Amino acid sequence: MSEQIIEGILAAFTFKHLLICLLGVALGTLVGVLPGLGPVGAISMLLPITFSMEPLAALILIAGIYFGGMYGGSTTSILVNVPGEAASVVTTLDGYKMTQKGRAGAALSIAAIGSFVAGTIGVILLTFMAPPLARMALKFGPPEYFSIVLVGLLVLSRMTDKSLIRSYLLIACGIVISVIGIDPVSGGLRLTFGLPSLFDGLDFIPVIMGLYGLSEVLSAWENNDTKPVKADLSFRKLLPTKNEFKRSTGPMVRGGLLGFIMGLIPGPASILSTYASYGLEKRLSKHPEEFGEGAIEGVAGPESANNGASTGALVPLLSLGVPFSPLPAILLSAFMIQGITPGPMMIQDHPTIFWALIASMYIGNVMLLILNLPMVGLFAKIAHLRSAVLMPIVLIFCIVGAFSVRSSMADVVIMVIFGALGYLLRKAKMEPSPLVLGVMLGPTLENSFNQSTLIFKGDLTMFLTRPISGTLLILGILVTVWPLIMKLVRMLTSKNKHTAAKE
Amino acid sequence: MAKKWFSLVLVITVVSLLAACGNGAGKNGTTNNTGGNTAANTSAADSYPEKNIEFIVPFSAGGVSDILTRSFVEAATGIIDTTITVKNVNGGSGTVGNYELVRAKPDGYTWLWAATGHLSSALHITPAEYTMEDYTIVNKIGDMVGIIVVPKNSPFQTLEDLINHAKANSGELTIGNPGEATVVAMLAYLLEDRTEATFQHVPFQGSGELLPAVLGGHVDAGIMNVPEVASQVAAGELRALAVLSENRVDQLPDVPTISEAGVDGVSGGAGHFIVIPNNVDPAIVAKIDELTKKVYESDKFKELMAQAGYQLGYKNAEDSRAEVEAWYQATGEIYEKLGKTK
Repeated sequence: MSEQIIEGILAAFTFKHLLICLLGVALGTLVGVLPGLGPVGAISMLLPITFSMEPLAALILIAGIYFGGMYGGSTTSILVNVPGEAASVVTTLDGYKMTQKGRAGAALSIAAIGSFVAGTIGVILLTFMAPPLARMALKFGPPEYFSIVLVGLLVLSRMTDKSLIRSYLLIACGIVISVIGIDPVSGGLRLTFGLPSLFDGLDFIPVIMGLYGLSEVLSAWENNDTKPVKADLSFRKLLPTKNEFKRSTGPMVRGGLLGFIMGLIPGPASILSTYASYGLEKRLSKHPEEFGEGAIEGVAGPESANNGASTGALVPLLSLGVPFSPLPAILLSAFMIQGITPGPMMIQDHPTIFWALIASMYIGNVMLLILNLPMVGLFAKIAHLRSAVLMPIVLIFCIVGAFSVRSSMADVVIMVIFGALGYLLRKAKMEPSPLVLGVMLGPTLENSFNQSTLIFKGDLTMFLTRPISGTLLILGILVTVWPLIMKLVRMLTSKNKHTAAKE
Repeated sequence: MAKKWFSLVLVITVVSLLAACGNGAGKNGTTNNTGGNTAANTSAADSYPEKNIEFIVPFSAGGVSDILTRSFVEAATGIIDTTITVKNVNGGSGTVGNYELVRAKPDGYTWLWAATGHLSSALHITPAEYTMEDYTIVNKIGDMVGIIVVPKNSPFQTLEDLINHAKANSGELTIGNPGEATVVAMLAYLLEDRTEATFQHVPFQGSGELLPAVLGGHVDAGIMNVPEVASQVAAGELRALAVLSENRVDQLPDVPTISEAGVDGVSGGAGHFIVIPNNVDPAIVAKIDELTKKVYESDKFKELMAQAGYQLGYKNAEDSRAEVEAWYQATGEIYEKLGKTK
């Protein structure tokens, strides 16, 4: 056994495999930074090439792209307020604020370091604890997903806006948007207004490109050609300060662990993990008022969570052979093409490949850190361009990004519509992230509710009698209702005092 | 002044980008259906293929159909003497890609990796713009065989146990499928129809979601495709009750077929075919049949299909057509009963 581990590690350290790993992570970073084409698309385009490669080389390449894509995703969120993927939406909240304050370099560096910390924590947990963790994840069925998502929506949406009603309103709008398309149960069409381009529903990328990117362009246009923030772009100033480092350590470790654990659970838990990490850090912080104004913890936590989650998602794939989301699913395809079935038999059937792959994940994370830190300087310069130059670039970015998802002009139109909506929300001083949360989680909420009611044969009390789901729901309801009760109590007592004073 | 410049740059960017994107979309969208060359032209068939072949996959990249098609292209190197490019046209349960094939130029250089579903049964329930008469089947490649599995600690040891339980407790037994419009979901309804048992059907969004639900025991049984569960069955995590095909599958030789397990008429619907537009020169059709058959018989292709857990099973054009039509009939009756026809 230990011989095979050493053999695997040695295989990963051969010059050829190191080079392939570097190629993979570099490609992945590129794919992560560029709009539209995500790691899923990139890997599926590369799959035919891997046919003629030997299995280990092919898997190292694909795993490199997988990890690289997670590093690059936050770059555009921080620099220009355009999240390149669902998991980077939260990063815009404080990342972009930091850029506006001239701290783009620090935000990017912390994102890269956080990704490295979380990635490494994740791979260590993956190495030593994968099988029991995967068994734990199987305890979660449709009723549990429903409870997680419902509680997530109720609790996490409040973190960006003080007004409950506004947040819930936006979530509700998001859920309504998410039902556009073919009804998964009856097959009927919903809210498509007879437009064939809406039959398959809205893709997520055009929606966030519009809500964030285009609305940014529109308000920049309105505000005229604002002078960019004067910032010292020397390398020393680009790095985070000692204080920023100190403030980020805790969020990185907590975010990484939180992300890893939530990444084990199927469905959109990995997206929730970024929101959860943000909420957690805001709660723990000594200065919560800084969140939303450029708090470094608001970048460090979610960015680490997002990377931890993508590593966590590999646990069910490698130890059970079950992909829980589209990205591990495409990795499964890559394995199958090579004639390797991931799962309980993999360590026995292909021990060298298994351990070499794990070793390459450690190597890949180190390479990504080395690769990403020098690029911070270059990217930070982009952020400090004048808006007359920068905004057209952002616009191109949004249009190309929206178009490239499905090569469809309809998606560009959708991007423009959401751009207008995002602009109106800005005018109303409303933060769009609850809307995004609703759009992202709506389908899971609906599907898991439908599946649960079928499994329960209509008996909804079973949501509360199943241990995991029941605990989650009761906690969620308490957290949600508690502030209302407190408010009510205060109102009543003050009324009593009032009447008492009158008498 | 600055504002003017800003606006100008913005407008130019938008216009040029829209023009660029618009062109791309236009090219993809316009194909004509003219120029039907029915006259037998043997010289054309002799020199076929003279140019690149476009192979349409009506599902997304990385999916089962996509992997199978790309494996075919890989194995065809050295047998079919031209470049075959794979084009993913997904949407509408495969009907969008199928419609693109129907509209393609009938010169024999556009192929479709077709599944039984969008060729036939999907036409009962989806608003597709073609009929079963609008395409030509060249031959059948094989089957993506369905399978019924239960978790390892399930009380059901055989299909009979499962059916008896479902009959005794009407609607109690939950059976997960990977989506209402899928062929395997149809097989679950067929099983219900043939055995007069009543299940509680639970649709998931693809087998990626369904598999953990079966493994975790959140549903009593699951119905999906052999390659998706083969390793779980081999590792003892899942128990396979029956494969839904006429013959046992090579990958799981110990699992009985559905008729061996005591139920007849619950198989099919999972075939893959090479499909081309109508009005292609019959000599060229024959040539495509000959060339693709050579690929199916190559060691490389057999090896790739064995890895993927795919059951090869060549059928000629006539038998393929008959199989697709039989499935169309059978599903029509079930959809009628369920009240789901459009």
